Amino acid sequence: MSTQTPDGAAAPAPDFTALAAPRSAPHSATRWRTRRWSALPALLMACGLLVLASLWTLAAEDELSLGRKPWQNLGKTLTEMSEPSFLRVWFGHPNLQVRDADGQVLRVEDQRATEVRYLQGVGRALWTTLRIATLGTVLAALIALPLGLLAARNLQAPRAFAWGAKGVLDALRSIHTLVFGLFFVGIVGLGATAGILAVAAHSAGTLGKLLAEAIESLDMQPVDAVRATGATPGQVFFLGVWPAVLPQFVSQVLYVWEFNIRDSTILGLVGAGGLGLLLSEAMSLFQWGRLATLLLAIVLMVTTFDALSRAVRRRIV
Amino acid sequence: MNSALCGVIEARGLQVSAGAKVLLHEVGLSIAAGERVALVGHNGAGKSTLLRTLTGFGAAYRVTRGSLRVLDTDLAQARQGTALRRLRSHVAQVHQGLHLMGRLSVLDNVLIGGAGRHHSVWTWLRRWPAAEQRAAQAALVRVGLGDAAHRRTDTLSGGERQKVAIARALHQGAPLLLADEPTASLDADAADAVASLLAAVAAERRATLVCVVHDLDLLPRLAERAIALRRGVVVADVAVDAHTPAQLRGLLK
Repeated sequence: MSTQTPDGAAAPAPDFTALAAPRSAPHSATRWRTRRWSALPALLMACGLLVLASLWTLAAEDELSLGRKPWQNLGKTLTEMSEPSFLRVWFGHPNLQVRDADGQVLRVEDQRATEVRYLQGVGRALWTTLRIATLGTVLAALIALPLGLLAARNLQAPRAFAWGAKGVLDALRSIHTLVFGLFFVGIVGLGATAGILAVAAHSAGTLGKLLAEAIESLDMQPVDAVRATGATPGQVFFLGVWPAVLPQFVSQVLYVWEFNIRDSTILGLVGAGGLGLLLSEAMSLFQWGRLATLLLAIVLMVTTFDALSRAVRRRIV
Repeated sequence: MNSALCGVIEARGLQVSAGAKVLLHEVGLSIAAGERVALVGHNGAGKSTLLRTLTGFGAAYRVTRGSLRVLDTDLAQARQGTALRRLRSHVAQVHQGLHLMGRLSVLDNVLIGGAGRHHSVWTWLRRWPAAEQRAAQAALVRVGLGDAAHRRTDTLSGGERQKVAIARALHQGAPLLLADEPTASLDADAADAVASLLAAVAAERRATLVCVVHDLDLLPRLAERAIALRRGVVVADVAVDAHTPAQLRGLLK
C-alpha cells in the first residue's frame, strides 16, 4: 500500500486514510495502517527463512530420511492394525497349538480366553486413566483457585503476591504433563499417584490462567455496586465476583478434564499409571493388533467424555 | 450522627484531578439532611465524578485540593479500610444499567444491601439472618416486586431491575441516597415510574437524595433543588419549584 524508503521504513501515510479516520485520532489510525502493511511482507519473509533454514540444516545433518523401506513398513503395520486384537474374542482359535521348529507342540492356547483377559486389563487401565484425569483435575482446580485470584489484575491483590502467582502459573503451564510425570515418578514412585500429581501440576497452570482471565473480563459494575454497600473484601468477592465467574470456572474445569483424559492415556509411558503402559508394551512387542485395540479404546473413551462434558458445559453457560 | 447541623454533604473548594487533568474546579457545595438534589449538566461535566468521589470511588482520580465531608466523615481521612467501608454502609447507591448480579435471585441481590451491617462469614454463602430476610422481602414489596423475590434477576425487564436496585438501597437503610442516572436505559413510562419511586422512597425514609439527572423532564419528580455543572464548575444552583420547566432548561443548559 505505502511506498517504502530504501532503509525499509514506511513512507508517510497516504492521505485518504487520514481523511477517513475520525478527527479525534487521525494520527494513531494512520500509523497503525502503514505499520501493518509494511510488517506483513517482513513477517512472511522471516517465516519463510525459518522454514528453509530448518529444512536445510536437518537435511545436512541427515535427519530427514524416512528409513529404508517406509512404504513397505507402513503397509505391513497398517495391515496388522486393520485386524484389531479384540476381534479374537469371537474369531480367535479356541485351541491354538503353538509348535516349535520341529513341529513339536509346545502349548495349546485358547485365543478367545486370552483376549478376554487382555481386554479386562485394558478396561482396568482405562478406569485408572479416568481416575488419574479426574482426581488430577480436581486437585488442579483447588490449586488454581487461589493462584488465579491473586493473578487477576482487577482484584488488586498486593503486587508481590500477584507477580508471584503469575510466575508460578506460567511455570506450571509451560512444563508438559509428561515431564511432570517423570519428575513425580522419581519422587513418589511408579503408579497412579505420580500421574495424578503430574496432571494436577500442569493443569493448575492452565486453569489458573483461564480463571484469572475470566475474572479480568468480568463486568466490574456489579462488583463496585457490592463494594458500595460497605461490604468487606471477602463479601465483595463472594457476593460480587464468585457468582459471576463460577459458571465459567466450572466450564473451564470440565474442558481441562476432557484434555486430561487424553493426556493421561500416555502417562503410563513414564510409569505414572494407566493405559500408557499397555501402549508401550504393545508397541515394543510389535503387537499391532493390540495397539489397534488400545487406540480404539482411547478414541471411544475420549469422544464419550468429550460429548458428555460438552453437553454439561452447554447447559451451564 | 448529627448531620442536620453541618449538612450531609459539605464540599469546600473541592478540586478533583486525574493526573494533570482537573475534573472538578473549586466546587463548594452544602446539602442539608432531607434535601432532594439533582445534579445536571452535559456529558463530561463532572456529575458522575462528583458522585463517585463522595464515597471514595474512582481509582483514576483523586481529591487534590479542598475538603469534602460526607455524613460527618472527612473523605481525606477515610480513604480506605474500615473507615471508608463504614461511610459506604451509610450511603445507598442506585446506578444506571447493569449493576445487579444477573445470576442471583432478586432477593439475594436485595440482601446484598445488608452487607455493610453483617460481615459474618455466613454472608459469603448468601446466608443472612432471618430479620434481614424479612426486611429485604419488605423492601421488595415496597417497590412492587414482592412476587419476584425468587426469580433470577437477569429475567427481569430494565425497569424492574432498577426497582430491585432501589429495593437494595431501601434495604441498606442509609440516610443518604445517591443515584447516577437511574433511568438512563429505560423508556419514558418506566423512567417515570422509577423516578417517582425513588423520590417517594427518599421522602418516606427522610433520606437525603442526590441524583444525577439527564432528562430534565424528570426533574420536578425527583428533586426540589438542582445544581448545574459545566466543565467541572458549579454554574447554577436553583430551587426547582420556583421555576417553570422552560426557565429551568434555560438556567441549567
